[in-house]
Amino acid sequence: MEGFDEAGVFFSDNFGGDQQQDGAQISLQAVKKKYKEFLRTFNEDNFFYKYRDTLKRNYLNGRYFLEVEMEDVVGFDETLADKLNKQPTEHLQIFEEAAREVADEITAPRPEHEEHMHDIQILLSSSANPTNIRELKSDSVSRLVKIAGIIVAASGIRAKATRMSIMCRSCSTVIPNLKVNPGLEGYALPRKCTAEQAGRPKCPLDPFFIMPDKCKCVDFQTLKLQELPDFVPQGEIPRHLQLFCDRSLCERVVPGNRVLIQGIYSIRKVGKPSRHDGREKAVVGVRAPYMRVVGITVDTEGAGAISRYSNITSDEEEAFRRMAASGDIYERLSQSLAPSIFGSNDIKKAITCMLFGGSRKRLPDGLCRRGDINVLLLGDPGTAKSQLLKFVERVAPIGVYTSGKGSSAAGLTASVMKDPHTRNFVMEGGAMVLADGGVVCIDEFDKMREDDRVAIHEAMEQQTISIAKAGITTTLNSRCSVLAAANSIFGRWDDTKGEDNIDFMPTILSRFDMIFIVKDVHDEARDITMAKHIINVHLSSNKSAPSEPAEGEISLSMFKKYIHYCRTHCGPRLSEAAGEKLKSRYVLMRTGAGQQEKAADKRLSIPITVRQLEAVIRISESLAKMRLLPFATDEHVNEALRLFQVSTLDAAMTGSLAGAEGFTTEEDQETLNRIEKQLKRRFAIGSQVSEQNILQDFLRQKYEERTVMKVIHTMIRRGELQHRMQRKMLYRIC
Amino acid sequence: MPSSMELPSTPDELMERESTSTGWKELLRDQEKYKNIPLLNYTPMHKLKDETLVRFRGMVQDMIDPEMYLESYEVKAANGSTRMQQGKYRDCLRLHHGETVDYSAESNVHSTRRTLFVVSIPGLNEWVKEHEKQCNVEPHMDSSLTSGVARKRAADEGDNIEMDVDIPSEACKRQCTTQLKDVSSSGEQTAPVLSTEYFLNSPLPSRPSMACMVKIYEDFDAIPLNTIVDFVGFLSVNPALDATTLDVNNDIENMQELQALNPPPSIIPRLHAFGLRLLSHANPLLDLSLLQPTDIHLNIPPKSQETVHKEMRILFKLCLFDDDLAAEYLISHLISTVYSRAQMQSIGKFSLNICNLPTEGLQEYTIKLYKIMELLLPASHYIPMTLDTMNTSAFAPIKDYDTNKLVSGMLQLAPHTHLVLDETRMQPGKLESSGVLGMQHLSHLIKNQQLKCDFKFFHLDYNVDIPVMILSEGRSMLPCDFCLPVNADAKSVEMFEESFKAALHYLNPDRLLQFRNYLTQARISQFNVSDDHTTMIQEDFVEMRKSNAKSNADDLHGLLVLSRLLGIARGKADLDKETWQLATEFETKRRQRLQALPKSSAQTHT
Repeated sequence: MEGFDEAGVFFSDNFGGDQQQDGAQISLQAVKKKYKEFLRTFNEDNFFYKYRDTLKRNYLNGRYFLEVEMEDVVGFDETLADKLNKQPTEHLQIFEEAAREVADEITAPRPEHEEHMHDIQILLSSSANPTNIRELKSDSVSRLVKIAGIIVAASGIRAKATRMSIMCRSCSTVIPNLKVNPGLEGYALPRKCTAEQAGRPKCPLDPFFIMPDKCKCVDFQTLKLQELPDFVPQGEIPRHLQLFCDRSLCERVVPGNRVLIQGIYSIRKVGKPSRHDGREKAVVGVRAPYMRVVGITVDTEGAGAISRYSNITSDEEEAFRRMAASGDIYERLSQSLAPSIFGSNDIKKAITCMLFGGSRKRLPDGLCRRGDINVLLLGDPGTAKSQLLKFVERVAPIGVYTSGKGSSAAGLTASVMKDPHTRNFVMEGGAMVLADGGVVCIDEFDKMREDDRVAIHEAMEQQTISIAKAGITTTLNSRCSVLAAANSIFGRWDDTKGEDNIDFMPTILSRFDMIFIVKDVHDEARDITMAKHIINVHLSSNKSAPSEPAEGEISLSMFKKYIHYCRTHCGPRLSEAAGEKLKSRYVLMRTGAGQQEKAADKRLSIPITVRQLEAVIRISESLAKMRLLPFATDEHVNEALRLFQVSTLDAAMTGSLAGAEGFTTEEDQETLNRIEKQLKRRFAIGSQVSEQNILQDFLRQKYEERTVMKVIHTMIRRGELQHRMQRKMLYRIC
Repeated sequence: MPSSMELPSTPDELMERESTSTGWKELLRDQEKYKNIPLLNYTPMHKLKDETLVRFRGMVQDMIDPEMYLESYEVKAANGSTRMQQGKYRDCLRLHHGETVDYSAESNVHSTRRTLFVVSIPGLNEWVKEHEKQCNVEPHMDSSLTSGVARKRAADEGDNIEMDVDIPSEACKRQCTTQLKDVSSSGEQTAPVLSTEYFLNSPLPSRPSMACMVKIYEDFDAIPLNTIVDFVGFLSVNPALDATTLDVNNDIENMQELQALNPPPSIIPRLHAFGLRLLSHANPLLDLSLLQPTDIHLNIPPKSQETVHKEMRILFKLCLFDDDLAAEYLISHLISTVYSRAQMQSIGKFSLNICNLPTEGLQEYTIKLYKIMELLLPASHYIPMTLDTMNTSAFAPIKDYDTNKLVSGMLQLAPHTHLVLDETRMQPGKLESSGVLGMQHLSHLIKNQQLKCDFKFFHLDYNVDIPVMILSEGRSMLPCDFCLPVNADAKSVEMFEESFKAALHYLNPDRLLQFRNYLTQARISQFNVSDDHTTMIQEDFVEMRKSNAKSNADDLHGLLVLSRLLGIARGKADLDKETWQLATEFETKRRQRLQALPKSSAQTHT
């Protein structure tokens, strides 16, 4: 791109010179004319001359560059665009030349002292799908290519000569105005001085030196681009590519940026041949590819916008449209979610909704209502909650998986403690980090420290996170959905305890749009299917058969792309009819919960509030979104209400001890009540008894230890009993 | 044709073969020929000339971006005549006196090759090294083979080929010294020199491995990171390859990277590979590509796997306070392998936590136990989990963007390298952030058999297969698949030193050999479950769920893995009822022992 800053490199002088070069010159001249015409006249059938006006504005503002979209060039003249693609080095020179001349025309007359024209840099951009570093082959050398990657290193800004003059140190011959190749290729000084001067000894070898004051220089910077992590095949190291940016492209990116690069794929030498004793020996003839950048797009909308899954071809787009139109897309998607996990269909459906998300709303007063759906899974260990979370981490556009226990950002310390009883070592973790624009999967949410959980409050509703560190307080965006999993507080969901299992404050519970109680249901038929499923996992792999998606299932990468496509192409709203329906249902829900509260004579731990109404709206929107519909209809509201019913409402309704259902039989319940009565009878208020004594006593009466403990814990939770003396003694409060 | 019966001995000869015939690669399958190629791992560098045919066995530690080289190029002689020279399988361009390379010649051909950074298998145990050394064929500088070939070559190509080889190196020596002088005299230009340790990049700094940069010319993506490979190719140790001798455009910013990627060949030799074998295990006794000492297999009567298994149980019973159950679990652990990865699960892993170890007066116990394991396993590593080790060691590899190297960590190990973590060394105290990170890496490794590599801006997971065993006093703070409290009675605790003496005595050379082979063979054997037994397992699971409300899917996973390993250990190829019942019985026993452990003070109410 450099070295064309002198006017009159191309001229239409038809006299002299051989015929062939003449022809080339003329065609170049014609090409330049075309570019000029493009800059002057390009418009989209209105009177807005995009490039002419931008060029003028840029120039007057002292920004000597012009961004051109490849699509516009294609629209203007296809052969021209093709040439630009295939011979970018030559054509960009001409293009810039043309831009300079056009700028000269449209900015004239210029004020005094500014008659001299600055060079214009042409920056290209296109909306084509980027390729990967790994796929760049030698046939794309010196072509215009577009690649995606992450910047991992940036050099300082240095100067590079575009034109220079050199002088022979022995005879003082000056060779002026040498053109230096653009890009990283240096200039090899001539070995011998050719100036023949009579009566003088021949100049020695390597007599030239550069005259720095007679050089024309431009800024340049080298960057190192790395492959995006999702392009790297398993077991491979990400590849790199060096980038060469000059002039206005310098200092546009910093390490860590995800970028799309438009550039010319080039080759350079690594190390120059060593020259000693006038002999070249043991030369290492190695070269490395690099890219001369002609346009950079930096990913600004969070880390997810530039990834493998944002490459959607027109074929895929059509396939997506078809998928969206097919009636069973919702079922298919939810079935494809973690197919190795058996059952839990409603949970999978809810997570599918979460992945697509509702629509973010900006209210007239400037406040935002989140569109992200948060889901909480509560329940028994061994119900594959963690696996579900892991899968979501992989399928979400940006997924972060963290465990509440011991999750700690780098830089925090944790302490190791020894439990005096078991001689086990325990580690205490620190805080965690949240990610913007994706899904945060928090495993062992219950094991998380209380202050961390409070920090999540803000993240979940306000979608920001405040950080106070080293005297600076700042607010970061964290527009993310939260998928959390927690064991019920006693390690196992206990129906007899009802809501006591949920050991969170109502404030945090209300922030989850859907709360599922995952019960490890004991059911013979289900157990058999599960066993079959697990054995298959072990066996099919034994034959090392690749796990192909089953009939009707959507593959992971397809799933991911589809999510990305829907999220970027659709923002549905609730239709009016659906809104009406929801209104009436909300009123019903409020009264229903109220009755339950009255009956149980205490507050439910999952209150039904406006937040829940919003939750249902979000779920309906997400259902419309996965079908690429502009409005959420009646049907979507129905499904959303159903999901809400089976999740949060059911969780809210699993009420008091009396309403024990499921596994605890009437008989068990009776036993529990009997133990409780006996306990209360023998245990005076305000007195203190050893827990061991009580246990022994009941055991003698042939009660099971488990049941007795259950009763004691229920009473502790109700605040009727209290542990004393290192949990050895029980104290009755009321 | 007699000449095609030999492996090529120089790059030129290989190039010639490549252009004339396609079947020459068959030669690499010829075990006899293959065995006779010297191993770079065990041959002192001074005994090997530049461009000799060698082998290197090691683990792929890092992969460097592909580079372009001149496959063939035009050389201009002083008198103006030109000739074509081949550049494949060598680093340096070959020139005669007074000749120059025409870089812009039309006929030059550029090709790509890829450099792999290979380190000798980290954690390789002494006996393996000793054995491999015995297998190695020392090259004789004037042996009939090499000189014969050289003579033939000379006859083929004519004049001064030998001279040609010598001159460059001589010139280089001179270059080297002048260059070094240049650098040191210019003062401010001296880039920070990287240390030898940094160049070598050993995953286990306490057990440094040898490194070699292997250049491959095809199938760039065929070798995943951390696999163990046997490469065959031509050695390249020309001193001109050192970055300090390269004349680099004064590009100081890239100096560190250039240095790191072009280390002195005296420290890290180059190997231009034309053949490779992926090794499924590191046991040299079972490796057909090694020239085994003749006397080794003869005097041992073959024993069935079952007998060996019994003998091994006796051995481990001695080492584990006479605990039969623990011995069974330990053997299962030693032969475990991740045999498949289904979606997010790694099937087949068997991380073991042997807890409840008596520690009073038994400081040396864990080390002694490890010593026994070390004698049986080809590769293993012992990490004492002291706060100091946790806080100061590097666990997972980190990408260094200044030098473009993947700086290795302790967990970057070849498949089947056993990791023994000694938690009895832990003391209460403060874990720094690096230690916390180390713990996270360890638990990620145990849970998923994946290694999280830090690429600063993101993480990448690499599949690994590193069986982890944790020795601890209480239950380990790391998550484990199987936690087994050992039943140590007072008497055997007292006797433990005698037991170990007996164990060492029991391990006579014959048994050692059998045990070593047994462990490797068991690990790579296949196991099936018939349909009948599938139904049996299903029914058992339903029963299990009925009788014990707490049992869940994870228990079934565990049982399946355990029954597979118990079957394999007894030399069975299919699951039978007996093995399944044994597995259930063992798991029940183990669970009972776990119940008997003292409860945590924080969770007394569970």
